[in-house]
Amino acid sequence: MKFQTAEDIGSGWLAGFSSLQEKPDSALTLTIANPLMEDVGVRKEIEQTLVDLHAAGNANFATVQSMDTVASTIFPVDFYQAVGSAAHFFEQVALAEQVRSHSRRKRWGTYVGRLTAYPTPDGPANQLGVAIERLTLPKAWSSVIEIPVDAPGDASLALMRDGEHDRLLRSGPCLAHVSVTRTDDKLSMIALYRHQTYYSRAYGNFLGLARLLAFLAYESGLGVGELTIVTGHAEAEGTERQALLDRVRAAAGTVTPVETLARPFGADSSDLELPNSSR
Amino acid sequence: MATAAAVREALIRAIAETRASSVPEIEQSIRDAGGDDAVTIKSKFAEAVIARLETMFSRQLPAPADLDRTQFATIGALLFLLTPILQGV
Repeated sequence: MKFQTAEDIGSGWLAGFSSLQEKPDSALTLTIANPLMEDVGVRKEIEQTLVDLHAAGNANFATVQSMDTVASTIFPVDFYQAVGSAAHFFEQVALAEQVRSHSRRKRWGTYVGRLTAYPTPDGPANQLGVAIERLTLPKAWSSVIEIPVDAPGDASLALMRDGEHDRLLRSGPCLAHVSVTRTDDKLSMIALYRHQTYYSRAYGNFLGLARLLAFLAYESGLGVGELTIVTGHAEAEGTERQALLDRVRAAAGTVTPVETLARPFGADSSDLELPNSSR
Repeated sequence: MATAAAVREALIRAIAETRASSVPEIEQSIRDAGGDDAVTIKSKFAEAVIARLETMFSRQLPAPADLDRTQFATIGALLFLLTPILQGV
């Protein structure tokens, strides 16, 4: 297991990716001290590389997504318009999941779907709603929130309604568990991944987790603490790792606050899309 | 059969509900942005809007996950996609 610490999401991605240079498959734990700051230069270089690899016909990158789209699978920030609007957020997520449920590509669903409507024998459980309830109890317990996203293994079958997907040996869900801890009026998060790809997903995952952490903290009247990501199998799935590392290091330095609320309707969002063309 | 104007009206109403906003506010934002083709819609947002349209028109509509990004990238694209379906063409 490799351990890395970093100040923001951009330097966190760089620290994690650097540690995968010699051995591109490793167990990796990364702690980001200030997850509400990201590096747009890092994000843009990763996205340009994805577009380049896709255009070159690399089979690992047959479909590529922007980091904002990856982040939205964990926390669709478009639905969170103001602090105190958790109920509206949950309603929009439920509607979105309703449409996704009749998609040909619905597979196991989405992370935010499992966070807000986890399949249990008693029906869907809104784990984020429960988390906010517990975090706003009069007594400030420090560690009372555990949020499973995936419940693999035969022993837990009796608890599951979605055993077919929770027992998948490959494919998602790769995020298995989220734990939040309250310390000194700040909320910190540990996310456990069984597998995480550093080219395609990691930066977007960090961004989505940071937004999820901010949502839980804001709705509970708490500050935002650290984000720790524990990955059993961290993978640098592309080629020319050193070249990408060099390019990202050169592009780094545009550290900006993470957007934790929706942009005004109609605002330009072209910066959140993948680049239009390869280099 | 819904007219093209009725489909657009329903779409704007669905957007307004998804944004917890009013139809006039949404229309103003669209004008400020430069029209239906200038307002970008992301996939999760499109899913929630389409869910509302499914209820309004009592029929199942395409899910963004099954579409190319360009088919739901703007309000104009959504209208181009959904109007013929909701008109029964």
